[in-house]
Amino acid sequence: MPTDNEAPARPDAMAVEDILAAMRRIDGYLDVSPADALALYRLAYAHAAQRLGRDVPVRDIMTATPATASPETTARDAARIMAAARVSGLPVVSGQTVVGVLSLTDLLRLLGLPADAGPAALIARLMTPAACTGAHPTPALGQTPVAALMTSPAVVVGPDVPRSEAARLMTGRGVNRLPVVDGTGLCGIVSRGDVVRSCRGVPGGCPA
Amino acid sequence: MTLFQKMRGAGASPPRVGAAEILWSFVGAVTGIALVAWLHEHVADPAGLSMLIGSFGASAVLLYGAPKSPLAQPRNLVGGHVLSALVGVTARLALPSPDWLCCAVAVAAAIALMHATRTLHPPGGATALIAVTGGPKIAALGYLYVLFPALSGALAMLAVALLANNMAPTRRYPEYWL
Repeated sequence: MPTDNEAPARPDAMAVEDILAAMRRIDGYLDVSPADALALYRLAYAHAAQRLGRDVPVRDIMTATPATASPETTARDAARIMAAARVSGLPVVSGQTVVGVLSLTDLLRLLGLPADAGPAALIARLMTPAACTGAHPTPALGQTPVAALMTSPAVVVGPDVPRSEAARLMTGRGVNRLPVVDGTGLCGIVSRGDVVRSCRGVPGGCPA
Repeated sequence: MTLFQKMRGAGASPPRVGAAEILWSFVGAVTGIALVAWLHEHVADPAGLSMLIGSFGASAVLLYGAPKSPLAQPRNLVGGHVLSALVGVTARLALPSPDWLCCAVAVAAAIALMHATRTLHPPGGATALIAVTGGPKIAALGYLYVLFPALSGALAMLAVALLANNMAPTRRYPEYWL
């Protein structure tokens, strides 16, 4: 997130004196008047902002056909699915209906870590010799069905929901991903990373 | 905005260029005009042709003084001189009198044609005018005026612009060819 003094100047803040300073930097004779250069800058800026800042629907930025789990999937299999897909959460579907979301945090809780513990807490515990002599996750824990661990009901969005609304939902509800659901059921998933990646090059960041 | 308010102007004028720019403009112009004038004196003139007309002085301003300008690019330099020479000779042959009208039509038609072909090059206006007013020697050339001096002079100036402008560490020429 750029701080205020790194943010690009808004077009209205740009003045002829800035254009003159830029012209001195370029040094060679420029065949344009400072007023025309300023007008050109403002029009180009407005065009770029419109092109890059359009609020796209999540359909355009989501990951289609995401990896999923079903309520009967075991915790161990769910962890394997996440590892294989290199994701940190899975929509839990029954048929095509989204019944919940399983995140890495939900699996960590199964290991007796505090409710708000993240993956680093697991690494810290694995690297502490004393902890290894204590209770180990038994194979039985891995048999726990996803239904007992998942967050349910899931916060979902429709494919036509704007990106800005998805960003607000993720921040407000404290989740990292939203299953995208249309009339027939699950059609994709949109993560915080998808939102950030889709904002690359937008002047001033994403539209609020 | 009234007519008189518009005439007052309201913008800032651009800054002066640096010393290096002035030096390289000088070096380019000295070399380019020297080449064209030498060719005129030693090659073209003895053969009854011409290489040196006033419009090349104006082309030197653009090529060596403002090489980034769209008006100074090869397409404009060569296209502008050749098309304007064609227009000028045609105007003189098709409209022998009155002279004042022939001059006006030659320059105006040259500007219109350069605009339409994206070859606008201000010295082209002079090339068209000189085709009409250049005196008996120019008139005797007929359409050869398009090749000597228009095309040949433009190519000689272009060759110098490619060398001189690209020898300058702060310059690059052309911006584009076509």
